[in-house]
Amino acid sequence: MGRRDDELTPAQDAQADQLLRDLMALYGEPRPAPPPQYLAQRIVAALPQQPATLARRRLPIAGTGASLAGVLALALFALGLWGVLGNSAGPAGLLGGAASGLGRALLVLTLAAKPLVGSLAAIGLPTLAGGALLVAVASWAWWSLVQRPLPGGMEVLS
Amino acid sequence: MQHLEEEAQWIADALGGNQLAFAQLVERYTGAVYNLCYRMLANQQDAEDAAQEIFVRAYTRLSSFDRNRRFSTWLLSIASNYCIDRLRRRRFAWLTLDDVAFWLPSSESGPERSALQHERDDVVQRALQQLPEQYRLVTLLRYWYDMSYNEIAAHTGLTESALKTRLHRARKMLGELLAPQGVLEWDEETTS
Repeated sequence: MGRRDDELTPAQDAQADQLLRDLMALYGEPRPAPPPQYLAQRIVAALPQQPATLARRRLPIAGTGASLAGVLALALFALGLWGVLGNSAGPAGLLGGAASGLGRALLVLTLAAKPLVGSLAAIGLPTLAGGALLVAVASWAWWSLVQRPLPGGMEVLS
Repeated sequence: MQHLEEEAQWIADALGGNQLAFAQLVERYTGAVYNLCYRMLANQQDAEDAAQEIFVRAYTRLSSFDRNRRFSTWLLSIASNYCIDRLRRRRFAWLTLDDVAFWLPSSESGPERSALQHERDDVVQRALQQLPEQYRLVTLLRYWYDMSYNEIAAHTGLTESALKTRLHRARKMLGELLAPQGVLEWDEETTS
């Protein structure tokens, strides 16, 4: 049947290692691919102007922005829930109600969302859960396919 | 040891705001980083862009570098992760006109060496491109960077057993692609 790859003895492994080295040596490999002479200079020129410690410190600020966006999204979701499940005119009332353009727009959105949410609720929890599970499984399968190496090491070369 | 002490000083100076100190590290490791990028991405332009991005990332993350590690190992791990990500993103890349132009025969004269020598030089590079990216990476780390199994395992996050399996399969694939018959044909052509 043959050995599993990880059952090679150290001697067999060393032999296989040397065989490949000998084979590559026929082609003058392995040798490093020489970089263009201008590359180091180009890289140094591309470095951020601020010192390394400051360049690092910028990242937490970006993280703060992401947190703020998350809080905002949560607030909008809560407002939407209030309008759809509770008082339809409630969120619009915060923005001036029917008297203001923004209030009217929000009221229209809330009223349009209500029948959609009602339809989803009518489907039933087991069906909703089943549908969500199906979407999750399909997403996982797609992601796994994307991560898997292509057969024969095929790559799209640029 | 002096080499490592020198690097430690450059890193400390770079963190203190001396960009020229980081430039010394760039000078020292451009070749190693470019080689990894070129062997992984198989394209000079992509390799140059990748090398630049890798050093910029190393610069911006320098304060997180563990000074108990070798800088070269840390830098190559950034490079490896970047190249793997870039190869994965390529799967979704649409063909561009630049790609088509690359395939069309060029009217410009190439470097002055025989076409057959050029073809021989590219054989191993083309064979490497046939490997899945994860196999290609461990092959490069083993044969181009002379890393031990422990070092490669630490670098890639694989267990030693998984690494040996991956490396063994990579060797088999490369061995088949670089089969001696190819070399024999080349020898016959040059000596006839």
